[in-house]
Amino acid sequence: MTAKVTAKLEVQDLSLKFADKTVLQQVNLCIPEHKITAFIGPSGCGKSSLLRSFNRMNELLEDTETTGRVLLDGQNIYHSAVEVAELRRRVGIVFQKPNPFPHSVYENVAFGLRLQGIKQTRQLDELVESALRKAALWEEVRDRLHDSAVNLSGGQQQRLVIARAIAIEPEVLLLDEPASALDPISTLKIEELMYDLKQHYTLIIVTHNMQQAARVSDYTAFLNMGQLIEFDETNKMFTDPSQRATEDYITGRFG
Amino acid sequence: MLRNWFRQGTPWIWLNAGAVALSLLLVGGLLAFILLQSIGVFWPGDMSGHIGTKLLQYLANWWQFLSGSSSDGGIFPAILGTVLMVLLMSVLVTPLGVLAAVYLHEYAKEGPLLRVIRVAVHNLAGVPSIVFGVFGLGFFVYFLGGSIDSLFYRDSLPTPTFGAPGLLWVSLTLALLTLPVVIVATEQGLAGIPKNLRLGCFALGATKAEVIWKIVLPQASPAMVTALMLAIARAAGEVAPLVFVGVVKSAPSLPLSSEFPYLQLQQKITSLSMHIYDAGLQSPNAQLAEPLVFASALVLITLIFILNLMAYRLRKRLNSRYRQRAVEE
Repeated sequence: MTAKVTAKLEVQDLSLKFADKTVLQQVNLCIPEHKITAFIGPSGCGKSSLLRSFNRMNELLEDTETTGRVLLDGQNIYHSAVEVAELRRRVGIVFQKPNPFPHSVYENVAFGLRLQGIKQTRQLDELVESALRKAALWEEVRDRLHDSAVNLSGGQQQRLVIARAIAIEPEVLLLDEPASALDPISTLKIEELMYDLKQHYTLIIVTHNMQQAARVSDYTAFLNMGQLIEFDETNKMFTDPSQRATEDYITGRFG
Repeated sequence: MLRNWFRQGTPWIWLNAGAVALSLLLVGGLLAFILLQSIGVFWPGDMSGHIGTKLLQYLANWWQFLSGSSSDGGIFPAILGTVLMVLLMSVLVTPLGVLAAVYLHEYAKEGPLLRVIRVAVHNLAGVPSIVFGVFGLGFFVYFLGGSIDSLFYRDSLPTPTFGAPGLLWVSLTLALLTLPVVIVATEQGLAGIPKNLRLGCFALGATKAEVIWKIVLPQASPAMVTALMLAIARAAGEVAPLVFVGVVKSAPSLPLSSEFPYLQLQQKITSLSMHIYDAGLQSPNAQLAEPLVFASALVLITLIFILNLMAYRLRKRLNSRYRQRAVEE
């Protein structure tokens, strides 16, 4: 990693409570731009909640209380003047289970574009195609753009959801265990896709799969019990972690 | 042996199957009875001649019955009245019920107040329909109608225009009567929409209003149609409450006009249910009227069936358009 690294997201003293249960405690972290950062840790450690706090998705669940700051390009996204819808356009998210809308393939990708007020058919056609190409799905669906998206396979659905997310040109893409519901071949496709996507976007991935984190990410954060234990370059983290807990987790001694 | 028989649940299964059979028998029997009673009413028994001419006469008699005015012994005004009051009710109750359900399910905060409102809505469904009739007369006809008259129809007072029972108040009363059904069924539809669809929509930068418009309402539209089907079936059969607000046994004229808005909302109407009640119980010659009562009942059932069929087809179309398939777990 010789290239100069700038921080896209800066997490400052972030704490999160779900109905009085502390999920995150005083997390401080810098997410580098145009890199892939992986969040690892045992179930319930708060890695998904941390991910969702980057586009304020936690607020859609009941009874959450966030304190601290998350800076996106230096601006606090928890400031009261921030428009949450606009924030979520800039910071997209893909969930564990593919959730295509029960519309056609085309309409799924066009959905976010239409929300942005793009109405011209030609422009929509171009943007839909380019998003599907970026998500490595175009060749598979070009002849059935107007078929229902729920007829696609699980892996195709997940890539469609990624295409839907990147169609609106987000700056950051959050991936919450995007491949854990998929077979190994689909998983490989998603991983290759992530590698291509980091040219344009800052990616953050939550994963249970150690090998996956080691394969795809540039940086890794290890969380346990709502605290950030260690954050470093993935190479260093997986070869020479500075914390004992990290080493135990990575080598499978706990978690 | 006997114990085993019980443990296997055999008596239980027989009891269940028996209940199904009995229900089918009763409903089927009812339909068959009405059909048998009414099918021969218009058969020209006293006419001699070829079976073909008899059949033609039979159909002509039916047509005469369906299209004739009440003075000719026909039920056309009753059919028209039923259709109009039910359609107008649908137009009134659907937006109101859907909006209320969306507010209750999407916007209102869970808490004691919301629970009280929910219980109140459910209880509204249990209020005897005659109470709605009395309320309709007091509130809609006298208060609302009276106010409209004193504001817009000053010249024709003291003859009331809207301050008397009429089609509009019939439909409004029916709308109120069926409102809880629509709210409850729509709310259930809203609750059935997978959470991850909503999240997916929010994730693309949609505001809450956009999520509701673009995902929630289209997805819930089949449930709304179901709600409307229930409401229509209930409304078409009501008589007692409607006598208060504008249904009479024989309306002086049809509630239609050749000028915009083509509807005479202040007109009294007659309905099939009213006609059945009137012909069956108030007729001086019950013996003679009885077959006609069954014929009217057959028409009412057929009408509700047709309305339901239309709603069913609409729901099917909406369903395939917004097809749901649970994503693989």
